[in-house]
Amino acid sequence: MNAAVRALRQNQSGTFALQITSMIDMFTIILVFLLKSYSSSVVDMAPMKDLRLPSSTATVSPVEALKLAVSKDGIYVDDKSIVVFENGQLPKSATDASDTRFIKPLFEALNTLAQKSKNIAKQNENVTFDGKIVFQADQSLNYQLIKKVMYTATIAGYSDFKFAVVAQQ
Amino acid sequence: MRISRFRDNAAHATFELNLAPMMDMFVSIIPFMMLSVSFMQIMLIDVPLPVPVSQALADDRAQTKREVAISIKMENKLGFAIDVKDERGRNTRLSVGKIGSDFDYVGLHKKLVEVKQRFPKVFRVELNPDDSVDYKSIVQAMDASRSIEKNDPKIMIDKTESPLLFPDVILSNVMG
Repeated sequence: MNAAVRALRQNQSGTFALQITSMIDMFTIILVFLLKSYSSSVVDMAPMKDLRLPSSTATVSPVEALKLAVSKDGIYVDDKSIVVFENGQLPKSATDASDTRFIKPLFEALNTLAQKSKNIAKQNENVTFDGKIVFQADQSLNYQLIKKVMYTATIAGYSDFKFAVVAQQ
Repeated sequence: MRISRFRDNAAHATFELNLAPMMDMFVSIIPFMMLSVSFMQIMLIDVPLPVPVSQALADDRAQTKREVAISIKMENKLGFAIDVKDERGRNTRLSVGKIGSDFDYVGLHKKLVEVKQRFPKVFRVELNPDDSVDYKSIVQAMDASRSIEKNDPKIMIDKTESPLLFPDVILSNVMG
């Protein structure tokens, strides 16, 4: 009886050394694989939150360009909010009184970016300003609003529109 | 004496490496990388068009004055109206009505194939949607205008079959 109790107590030792060398090996392999995959993803094309892109049969790959998004809530340039809609409508204060198609805050934002790109292009021969813009718009928006956004962007120098769509399966 | 010191050192030559900090680092880095990594790599397949087709496309894009003009009017009430102006300045209108409340994209595609058979070397079409048309419908109309489908009649350019319908769809009423 005493011998059995002594043996049980010896087995219930509180501390033990965990062998984690094999786990480290596994982690190292996973990390190397992830680092390799990480560097190969070139174009970051994620749709904005609460924005439903239309689906299309288009097969052209995405390109790296300035991102202009129009959701039900507002207009965004490179994920930065430019105009916030009031009750889902473009506020009157955002448009020009003499030209209702001209969205002033959007023009100011795009014009600043266009000037920056043009200045870079002047300094660096390898860079050219091509006026390319990746356009994301919610599928339920009407053409009237889209036309205004495109009109303003064209005046700011961005006339080469690339419509972002979800590839149809 | 030297031998006994050597024996002591040899006895302490093995030790356990403390891998816990390294584990901590891995556990932090791996979830971050797994969240940001893109497992799907987007690639391009370079598929050049047959020479007569690509030549005709390049010629059409280089044109400054167009003899043939094709435009599609898109209205929420009436559907599509295709206006064709030929080399002699004659105008033809083809209408594609709506099916219930939806636009008839199949009908539009069929009519555009008919137009393409008349003008195989024209690749540009102007799309003029009404202000009330939604963006999704515009994209679908563009899809219907772009390429020849499997069951469509063949479009021949200098004895070569063309896979293209009107790939250059232009929203011509944006500025005016």
